Amino acid sequence: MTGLAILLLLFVAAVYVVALYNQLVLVKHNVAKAWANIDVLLKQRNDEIPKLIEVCRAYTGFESVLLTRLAGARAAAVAALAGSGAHAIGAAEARLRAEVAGVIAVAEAWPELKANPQYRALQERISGLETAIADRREFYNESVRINNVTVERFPTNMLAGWFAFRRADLLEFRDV
Amino acid sequence: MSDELEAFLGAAVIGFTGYVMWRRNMRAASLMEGTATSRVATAAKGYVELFGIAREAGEAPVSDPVQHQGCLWFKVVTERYNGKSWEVVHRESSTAPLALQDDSGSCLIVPGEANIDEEQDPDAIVRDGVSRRYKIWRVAQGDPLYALGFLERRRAAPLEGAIPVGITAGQAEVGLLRVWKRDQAKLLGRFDLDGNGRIDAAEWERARVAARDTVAGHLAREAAGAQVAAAAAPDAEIGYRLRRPDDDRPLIVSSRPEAEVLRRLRRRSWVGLAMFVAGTLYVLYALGRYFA
Repeated sequence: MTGLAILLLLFVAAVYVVALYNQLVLVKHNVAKAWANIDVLLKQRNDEIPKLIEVCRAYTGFESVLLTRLAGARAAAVAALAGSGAHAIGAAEARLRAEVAGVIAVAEAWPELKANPQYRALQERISGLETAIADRREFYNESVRINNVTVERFPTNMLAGWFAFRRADLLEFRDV
Repeated sequence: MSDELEAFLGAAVIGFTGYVMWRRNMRAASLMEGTATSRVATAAKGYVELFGIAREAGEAPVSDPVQHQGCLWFKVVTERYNGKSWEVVHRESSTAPLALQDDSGSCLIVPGEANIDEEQDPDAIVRDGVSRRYKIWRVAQGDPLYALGFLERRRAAPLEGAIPVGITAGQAEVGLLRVWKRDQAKLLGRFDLDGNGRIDAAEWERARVAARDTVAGHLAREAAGAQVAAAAAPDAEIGYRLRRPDDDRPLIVSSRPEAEVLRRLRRRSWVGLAMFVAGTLYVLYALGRYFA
C-alpha cells in the first residue's frame, strides 16, 4: 500500500513538473509570436522610407543632408533587424524615428510637398504603421515580462535552468 | 450492491473527476497567466487575452426572468431543497450576443460558445419560500469584461453593385462614359439629338452630365443601402469575434477581475488534486484489501 501511495505521489509530481515545463514553453512561444508581429510591421515601415526619400528628393532645395541621414538611419535599422538583439534594434529604431520626424517637420515648410498626394499618402501610411508598432511593442514587452517572471519564479526557475529557458530583452526605443 | 463496492465506485468517480478538474483548471490558469493582454483592434489573429467593458451588440436588451433587471446576459439556476441539500431543477440563460469593447475596438461574444462567469459566485440569490431559490448571474452594460479565447476578424458583406473602394466619383464617371462609347448605336440613339450621326460637343456634354447623374444616383443608393444594412445589422461595426479555439484550449469570459478568476481556477485545481489523491488512495486501498 505504501509503495502504491508513493507511486501516486510520484505521478502527481510528474504531472506538476510537466505542467511547469509546458508553462515555460508557452511563455517562450508567446514572446516569439509577439516579436513576429512587430517584425513584420517594422519591415513594412522600413520599406516605405525609400519612397518618402524619393518624393522629397524630387523637390530641388529640400535639405539633402536630412535625407542622407534618414537613408543611413534606415540602413542601420534594417541591419539591426536582420541580426541584432532587442537593445540594438531599439537604438536603431530610436534614431530612425527621430530622422523621420525631422524630415516631416522640415516638409511642413514646403507647401508644394505637403500638397503632393503621394507624400500625404506616405506620411499617413508611416504614421499608421508607427501607431501599430507602438501597440505591438507594448504587447511584446508584456509578453517578455511574463516570460521573465516565469523563468525567475520558484519552482519554474529550476526547470528553466535545466532546460535553458532564458530571459528575453524588452524592446525600448531609446538611445543606448 | 454492497457498501464496499459502492464506496469503491464512489472513490473511483471522485478520483477521476478530481483528476479532470485538477488538470483542466491548472491548464486554464497557466494559459491565463502566460498570455499578455492585447488590444482588440491591434491584436494578431489567434489565442488572445482581452480586457474591456461589456456593451450591447445590436440585439434588444434582455432582462432576467426573476428580478426583471435589464442586462446584456443572464443565467438563472433554479434549485430545490430536498431535505438534505439543494438540487438543480432548471437552468436558463440568454443567448443574445454581447460585445467586449476596449479603447481600440469591439469584439463579439456569443453566449453558448462561451461559458460566461463559469464557476463564479452568483450576483444574486433570490429565495422563493423555504424550499426553492434562484441563483442569478448577470452582465450589464458597462460591466468590466475579461476574455481569453480565439480572436478572428468578422467578414463584412459587400454591397451588391457597389463602386469599388478607392474609385472616386470622377473616375467612375469617366469609366461609365467609356462603357457607353463601346456601344455607338446606343450612344447615338440616346444623345444624337440632331440626328446627324455624330456626337458633337454639346451632345457630349449632355452625355457627361448623364454619366455624372448616374454615378451620383448610384452613390446615393449605395449610401441608402449602407444605412439599411446598418439598421438590419447594428453590430456591423463590431469588427472582431471571440470564439472557442479549434483545439482544447478554453474560452473564458468573465465579468470578474482577472486576478479573481485566476484565484478561483487555482483553488479548483487544488480541490481537484485533493479529490484525485483521496479517491485514488481509497481505490488502491480497496484493491489491496480485495487481493489480500
